[in-house]
Amino acid sequence: MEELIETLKVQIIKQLNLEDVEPDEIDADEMLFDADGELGLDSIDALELIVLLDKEYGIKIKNQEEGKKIFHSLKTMAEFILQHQD
Amino acid sequence: MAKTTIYITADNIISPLGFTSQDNVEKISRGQTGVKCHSDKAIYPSPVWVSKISDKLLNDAVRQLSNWRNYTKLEQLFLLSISKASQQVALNVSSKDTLIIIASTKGNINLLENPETMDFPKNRVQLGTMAGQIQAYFKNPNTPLVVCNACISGVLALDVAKRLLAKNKFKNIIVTGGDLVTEFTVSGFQSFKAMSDAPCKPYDKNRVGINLGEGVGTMILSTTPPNNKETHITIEGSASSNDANHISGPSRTGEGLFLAIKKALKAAKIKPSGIDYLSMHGTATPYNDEMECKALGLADLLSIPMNSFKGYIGHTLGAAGLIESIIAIHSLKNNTLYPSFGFEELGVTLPINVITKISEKELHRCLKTASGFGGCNAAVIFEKQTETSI
Amino acid sequence: METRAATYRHCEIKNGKIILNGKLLFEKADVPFAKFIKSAYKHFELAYPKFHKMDRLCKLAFVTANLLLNNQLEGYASEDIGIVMSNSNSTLHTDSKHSKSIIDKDNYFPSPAVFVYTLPNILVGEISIKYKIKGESVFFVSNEFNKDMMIEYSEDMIACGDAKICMTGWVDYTEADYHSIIYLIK
Repeated sequence: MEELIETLKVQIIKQLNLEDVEPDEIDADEMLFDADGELGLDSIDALELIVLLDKEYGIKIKNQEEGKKIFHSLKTMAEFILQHQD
Repeated sequence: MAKTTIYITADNIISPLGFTSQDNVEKISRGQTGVKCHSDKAIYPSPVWVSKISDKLLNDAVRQLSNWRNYTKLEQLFLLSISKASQQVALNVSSKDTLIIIASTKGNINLLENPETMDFPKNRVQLGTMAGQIQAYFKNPNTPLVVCNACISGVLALDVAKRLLAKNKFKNIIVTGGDLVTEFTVSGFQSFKAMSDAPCKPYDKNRVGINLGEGVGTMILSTTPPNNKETHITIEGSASSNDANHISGPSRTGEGLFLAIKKALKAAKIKPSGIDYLSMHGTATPYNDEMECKALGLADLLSIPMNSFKGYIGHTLGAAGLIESIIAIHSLKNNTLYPSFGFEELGVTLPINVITKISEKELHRCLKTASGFGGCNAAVIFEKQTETSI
Repeated sequence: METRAATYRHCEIKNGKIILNGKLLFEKADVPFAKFIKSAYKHFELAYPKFHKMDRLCKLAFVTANLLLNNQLEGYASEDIGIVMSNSNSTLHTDSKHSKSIIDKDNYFPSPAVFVYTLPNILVGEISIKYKIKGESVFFVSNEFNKDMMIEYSEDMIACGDAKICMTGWVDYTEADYHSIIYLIK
C-alpha cells in the first residue's frame, strides 16, 4: 500500500503536469479535488486520472461520477487499485 | 449610424437526413434521426452512436461538381452546399461584392490521421489552405475568412458576417459551416467521457452525453431583400461572451451565456417577451444543459418554447450553429414548433419549456444560442418579416 | 495602417526575443521553445500553476498577453473587454500529439488534457480566465496575418459599442517556428 501510494504520487505528477509539485508535498489523506487545496486539480485532471488508471493499471472507469469517490485522496485511489487489480 | 438590415436570402443543409434544408426539416417533422450506431474501426475501436453522412449518397451527389476528385470529403460538402444555396437566388459567387466565411473546428483533420492513405498535400490540413480551395472553385476574388471558435463557430460566423455587412464592405456574404465525424474528435470526446451510448437526450433526466454529427450548413446573408418573396428572415442582433471560468467545464451559473443573450436582445432592441421560440445548443451533457437552464432563468426566458436539434443530427461542432439556425428559420417560416428529440422527463433544475409535440404557432422571433470549449457563448436573434409588416 | 498599428501598445515574441512596443524586454536565443517560454515565465515571475498544464500555443499566448496587459485593463468592466485573435496553424502541434495517441489500437489512450487544447480559441479562454475577460471574442484562421483587417475589425467593435478595449493579434506555433504579436486597441 505504502509503496503503491509513492508510485501513484510520481505517476500523478507526470500525468497531470504538476511541475511545481514534489512527491513529498502530497499527503496520502489530503483531498485531491479540494477547491482550496494545494494541488488545485479540476475536472480535466479527474478525467486524466481515469486515463492513468486504465493505462497503468488496466482498470476502466465508465464515468466521472464513479471517479469522484475513487479520487477522493491518494489513499482511496490506492485502495481501489488494490481491490480491482487482477 | 442607420442600422443595416441583414436578410437571409438562401440556405442549405447537408446532413444524414438530406441534402437540402427542406429534406432535413421534412425528416425532422416526421421525427427521424440521423444518429445511428456505427461499428467502424475507422471511427473508433468500439461501436459509437454518431450521425454520419453515407459515403454512397455523397459520392452520387458530388458528381455534379467539376473536378470533384480534387477535393477532400469536407471540401466536397462545402462546395455542394454553397452551390445549392447560391443557385436558389442566382448569386454571383465570383463577384468582388461577395465574401465567403467558413466556420469549422477541425476542417480536414482526417488528413492528419491517415497521411499515407491520402492523396492530398499536407498543408490541406490548414484551414486557410482548405478555404483557399473553396475560394478558387468559385473564382471568388476575396480571401475567405475562417472562424475557428469551438462549438460556437457557426453562430459566431453569423455575427462576424453581420458586422462586415453593416460596414458595407460586401453586399452578400456566404456563411458556411462544416465538420466531419472523425476518429480524432470521437476519441477526444470519448476521453472526456462525454459521449452517449444511445441517441442523446437533451434536457432529459437520463441524459448522459452527446452524439457527434457531421454536416454542412450554408446561409446567404445580404443587405438587399430577396426578390419575389413575401416573407423575409432578418438577423436582428447577435453577440458573444466568455465565461472566464474553465476551459472545458460549462459554467455552473449560466452567467456567460446569459451575458451573450442579454447583449443580443439589446442589439435587437427586443424584450425577452418578444421572443417566441428558443433554438438552444442542448448537447445533452449533464452540465451543459443545466448551465443553459440557469442562463434562461437569468434572462427571463424560462417559459418560451425551446428545443435542441442534437437528437436529430448529433453535435455537428462548427456546423451546429448554422445547421440549427437554418432549421430554426424554417420553424419561423412554417409557424411550426418541432419537438426536442429524445426528451421525456425534465432533467434540469429550472422549469424550462421543452417542446414535446409538433405544433403550429404564429412565430415571429427566434433566439439561437451556442456554447463551447474555451468558455465561449454566442447568441443570435432572427426575425420574420412579412410584406404587410414592413 | 502600419503607422496606426504602431501607435497601439503591442507585445511580440519571436526568435527567442520578447519585445514590448519595439523595446527588447527579454532574450534567450538558441534554446528550444519549451525552455525559452519557461525561462520567460520564471523571469517575469508570472506564478500561475495552470501555466504548466497549457499546451505550447497557449503558453506563447499567455506570456504575450501577460506582458502586454500589465495593469492595462484597470477600470474596464470584464464584459467590455474584447479579444480578436488569429493564426495559420490552428492547433497543429497539439493535434499531432492527440493523433499519435490513437494510432496504436493496443496502446490507445487519448488524453483529455491534450484534446482540450485542439481548439485555438482555448488560448482566448486561458487569457479570459486569468484576466476575468467576459466580452466579445472570435478566433480567425488565415494563412497570413491580416493585421489591417484584424485591427479594423477590433476598432469597429469598439466604435459599435460592443467593446471598450480589445486585444488583437496573431499567435502561431509549430514544431519549426513560433510567432506572437498582440496589440491593445483602445
